[in-house]
Amino acid sequence: MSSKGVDRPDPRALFDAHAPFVVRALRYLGVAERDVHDVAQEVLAHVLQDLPGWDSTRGALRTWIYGYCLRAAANHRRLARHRREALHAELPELAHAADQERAIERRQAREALLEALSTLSDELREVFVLHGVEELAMREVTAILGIPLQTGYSRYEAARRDLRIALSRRAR
Amino acid sequence: MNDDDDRALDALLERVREDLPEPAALAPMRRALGIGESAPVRGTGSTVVKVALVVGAVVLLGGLVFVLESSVSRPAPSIVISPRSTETKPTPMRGAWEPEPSEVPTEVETPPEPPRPVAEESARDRHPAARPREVTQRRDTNELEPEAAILLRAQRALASGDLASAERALTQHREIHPDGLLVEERESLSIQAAIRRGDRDRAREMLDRFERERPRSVHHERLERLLSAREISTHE
Repeated sequence: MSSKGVDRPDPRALFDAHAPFVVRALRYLGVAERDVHDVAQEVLAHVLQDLPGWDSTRGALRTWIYGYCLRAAANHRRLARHRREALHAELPELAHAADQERAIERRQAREALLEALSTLSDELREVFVLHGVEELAMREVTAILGIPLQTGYSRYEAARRDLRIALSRRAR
Repeated sequence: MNDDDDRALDALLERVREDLPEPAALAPMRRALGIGESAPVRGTGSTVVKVALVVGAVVLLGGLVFVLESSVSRPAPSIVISPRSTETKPTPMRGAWEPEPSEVPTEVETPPEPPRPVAEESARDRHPAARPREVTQRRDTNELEPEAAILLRAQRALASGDLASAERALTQHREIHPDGLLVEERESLSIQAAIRRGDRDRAREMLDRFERERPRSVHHERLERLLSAREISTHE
């Protein structure tokens, strides 16, 4: 066992606890819907491979994993073929959800947010998704991004302002 | 900016946060990563498997009885389950997949001037443990401006009934200025937010603590009045 860190979870526990959030984060960080599960698998494979090197004294496991998500999403966005896609047009059906009404609401919310997020710069989007959607503390977000806390908050407020505008335009 | 738009965004976020993939949707990924199922095996039609499960259960039961009997004479070893830390230790991560360092950000919105140079602020944020507990450094009026700007935002949001924005601003102040000059005002606004939220017990607890820690504060009377009014109105 590595000398770094303590309380290292086993892969099964790590998968159960974090895989759903990895998928959600990648989706809102701009990974095309059809690729979300592939990219999530890639992220989790890297996480599991690097897990012995994770140093729990230097940050929460969740924060560490989101760092991988950010990098993977950025790589994905950089590829020209993924740009300017109509992401909302390729959402999978949620036909088997027990509560159909809630499933439809969630689907509509997802479409609306994806469309609004596509109007943001990557910098604003990253801060907003990690803090606003994934509910990471701003200190964790700014640690991952390597930016000052004040900058994190400024970006978050700017992102909220732009999203409000985008959503209100969409509602008209 | 319209408060309704802000509330609509918060409502949208709540729905989006519920939008997590079902375990079944993650099963192919789990298999591809070579991770076993966490749920017990179900629906296996094979008689051999069923027999094996029954035999296994009998053996386990036998073992359990043995363990229970032996534990009568000596206490069972305690199992320490360490909770996953959610505390932030904002040290930049290293590794092949580490996010690339960002350029110096050009903000769309002009942020309020930080109280210290950015480099100093950043270094302090990265080492919260090294932060002095008592604030002894000299402070000038420039330090008040960013603090006041955040609290003014919280106050305006409270006045307009936008509790979510008020609490966001208060959290922001708590994180950026944990030992700020306006901590007393922040705590007073936090108590007001709890009162507005209708969380009487929490508000009472916060106010009692506030009065213990700041016995000479000018906010006591007003906060007591606000809370009493709320207590009376909810009892009526």
